[in-house]
Amino acid sequence: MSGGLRRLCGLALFALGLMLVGAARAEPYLAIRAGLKCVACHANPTGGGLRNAVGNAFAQGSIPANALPDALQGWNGSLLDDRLRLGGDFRTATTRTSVRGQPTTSVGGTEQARLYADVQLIKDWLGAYIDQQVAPGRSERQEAYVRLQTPGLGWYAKAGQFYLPFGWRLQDSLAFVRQASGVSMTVPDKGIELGREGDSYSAQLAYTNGPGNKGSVTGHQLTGQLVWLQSWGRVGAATAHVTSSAGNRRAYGLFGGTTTGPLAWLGEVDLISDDVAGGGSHRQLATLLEANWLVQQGHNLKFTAEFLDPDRDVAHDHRVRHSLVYEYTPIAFAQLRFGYRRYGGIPQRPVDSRREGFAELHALF
Amino acid sequence: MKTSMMQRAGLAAALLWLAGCGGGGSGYGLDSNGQPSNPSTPSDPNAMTATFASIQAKVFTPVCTACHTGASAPQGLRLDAANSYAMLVNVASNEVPSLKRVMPGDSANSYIVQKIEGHAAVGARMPLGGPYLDANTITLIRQWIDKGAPQ
Repeated sequence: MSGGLRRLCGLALFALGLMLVGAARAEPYLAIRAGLKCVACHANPTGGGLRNAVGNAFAQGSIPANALPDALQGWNGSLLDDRLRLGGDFRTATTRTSVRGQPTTSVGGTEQARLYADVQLIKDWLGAYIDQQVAPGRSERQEAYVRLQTPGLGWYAKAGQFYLPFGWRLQDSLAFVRQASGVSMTVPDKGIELGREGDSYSAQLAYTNGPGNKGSVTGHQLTGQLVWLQSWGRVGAATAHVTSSAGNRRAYGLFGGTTTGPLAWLGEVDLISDDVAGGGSHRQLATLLEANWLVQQGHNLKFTAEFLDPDRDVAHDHRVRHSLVYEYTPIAFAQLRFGYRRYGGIPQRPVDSRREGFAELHALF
Repeated sequence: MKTSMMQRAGLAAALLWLAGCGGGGSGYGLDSNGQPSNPSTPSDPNAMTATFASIQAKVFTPVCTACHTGASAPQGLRLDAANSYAMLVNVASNEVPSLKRVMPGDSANSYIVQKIEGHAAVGARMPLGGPYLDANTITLIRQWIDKGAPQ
């Protein structure tokens, strides 16, 4: 077998191995730690998903504890003179959950598998992006849009289906700030987005259907976000206004990130208000504070504290979620995560005070 | 030396902050759905039954409305008490339009059952990220559907 064929087989086996494991999305602490914009490493201007050449180089050189084997070096996701870019994210996990008064349960399996593609139809001006979830269940499109941009991505416009720009684009879609705001990497929306990437700021404005406006429920959503980037970190503000025949929603978010020595910090505060039938509103408050400690290259320890007030008009009902996650990246494209989450809620609902332990294998290319 | 001290200080700060965070709400004066208790309408504190009211009180409101509420509810599916029945029974699912979310009399072909049991054709098992509903709870939901999904 020739060296080239052996290398091709190695890559095919590696890709097959990745297909057997489960999904991933975004970790904004990496951008904070490196002092980079989301668009510096991702094909998607608002981050997450497919990595560009810089993102692939970063994933191979700055994150893992060890260098890749020779046979796997050189992949940067680019084909056809960078007119086609491919990638994927896969996660599989096993989770053990303990709830007071109930038997402990364990579940495992593929959480998510995604494939990404970005095609430059007119290089540096017009592109198309696809994020396809291939597991679990039948294949399902998450993002699919065309992108018109100026060279260097000063201005851009997206049209199609995409995730909305609101707060930190977290890998953890179950974080209170993502659940309560209804904006996460599990809930795409259809419409148009206009964006501007300046030297020290990023701005997005999206006009979409509204993910909750389906079937007989009609309306639209206007989402805006502005992020100011400085050498010490960044701060941002976001707002979402949903007009719906079933009740309007207004959401406001403030978020920021910085570093202190080996720690990269993220914070977010969201206030969400839904109109309720008969007048009045239902208001929620969700917060996130996350610290990522770079123990050494390839080893990250993540502490997260979250707070949710599910109804601002009701006292004594708040919930908390504390997480400790160790992330070990032995080589590029593969990561092991071990975590413990401790939930706290009202005693009347034991499931809100559960404990979870999990082990996860994450692969990406 | 400097880095090591910074690492220790950072870790200590993080641990202190984590340890200092409090628990959940006391639940004083609230029912099992986190709403103010109404003594005039006492509810069964434990047993779930195969009725819509019980499923709403024990599953949809406390579990599903973490995401499925308000104007940004995923798939437009609101499962709060005011909307859930109308959005479930005899309503086609968005992910597999050939299936009703709840098909009265046919739990096996009701999309909600496939989603909570984890064998739906599209997307992840619900509740997203778990913990998933236990077998007894799913059986009661199936029974409610099989007897016609009355309101």
